[in-house]
Amino acid sequence: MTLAPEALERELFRILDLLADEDIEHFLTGAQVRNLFAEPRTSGDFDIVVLLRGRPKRSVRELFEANGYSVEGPLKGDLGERFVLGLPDFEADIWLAPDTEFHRSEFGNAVRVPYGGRELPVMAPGDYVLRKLVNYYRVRGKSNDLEDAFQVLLHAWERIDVEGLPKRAEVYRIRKQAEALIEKTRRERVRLEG
Amino acid sequence: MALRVLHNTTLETAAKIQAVLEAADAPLSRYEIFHRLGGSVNYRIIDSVLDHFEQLGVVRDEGKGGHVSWIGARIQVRNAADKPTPAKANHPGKAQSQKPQSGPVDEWFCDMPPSEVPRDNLDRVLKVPTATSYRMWHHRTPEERMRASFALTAMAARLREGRRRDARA
Repeated sequence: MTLAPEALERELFRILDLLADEDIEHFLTGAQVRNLFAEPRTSGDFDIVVLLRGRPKRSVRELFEANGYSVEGPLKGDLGERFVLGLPDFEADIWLAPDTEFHRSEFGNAVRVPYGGRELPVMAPGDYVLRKLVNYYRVRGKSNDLEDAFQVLLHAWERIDVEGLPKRAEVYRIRKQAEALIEKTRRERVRLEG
Repeated sequence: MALRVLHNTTLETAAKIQAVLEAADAPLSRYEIFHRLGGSVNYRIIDSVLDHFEQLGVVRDEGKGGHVSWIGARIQVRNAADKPTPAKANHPGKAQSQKPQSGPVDEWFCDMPPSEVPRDNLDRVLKVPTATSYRMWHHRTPEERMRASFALTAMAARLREGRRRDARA
């Protein structure tokens, strides 16, 4: 089966609608955040974070299974726990956010981005840059993560509290790295805007 | 054998962590310990208890990004008020365990093992866009960018499908 852009869009809407209808708090993260705010890239999945607030994990599985999805998981990995929904030639990862103050703050910061006559709940660009830096320097060292952080910082600079980012990065012991990326991005912005 | 702890509330936690480690049939990371405790214990507390366990020699660092396994006999935890807390041993790699000085506590990531290749030379690692591609994408709407990514992804899938077909032929 050939994957069509319209089919991807429909699938994304369907998944988000299912979560919204069940009142499960959620937002879009991963490559799609970069794709909304910066130069797009290809991606093999949708990444959606859900906050269960005491709801059992199995309720997520049951929700998607009842709606015809094949569901794998919960699987544990470097970045946390997730269910994987199998789609034709594509997949969706439903990440389970623990109910901590930190994760609640990410949900509080999430933004709504107009798309296709609706509004998508999306991880805030500043939180995304920080997450990507943490993933790169503290978790798995995949260059895609750094590239995504750079791209979003470059294109969404005005939407991000750039001055506050190093202090937030300090918590993860990557303040210097955050400062270096900000400085690099600042230089590139001057060059590209010039 | 006694465990001297930093704070009274840690006593209970230390016993829970010990139970988790004793029950495990494989080495556990701090992340796994956190989850086996139901996410109820702050990473920093887990870290400080494991530091003490290490000093007592009742856990073994198995490498693999900070996995530990229980090797000691059952220990008794003792209130910090009983004896002064000993100075921390100067373990190799202790720099990784320095506690953050400020900011919100991230119970999810604080103790994740660091990636093995933190490449710091950004000029070398990052692909810098050309002025043309920067301008092209910078002034698009989120919807236009996302639709472009869907088109790119669909194209990549078609290429993969073509390659699979060719391989079968």
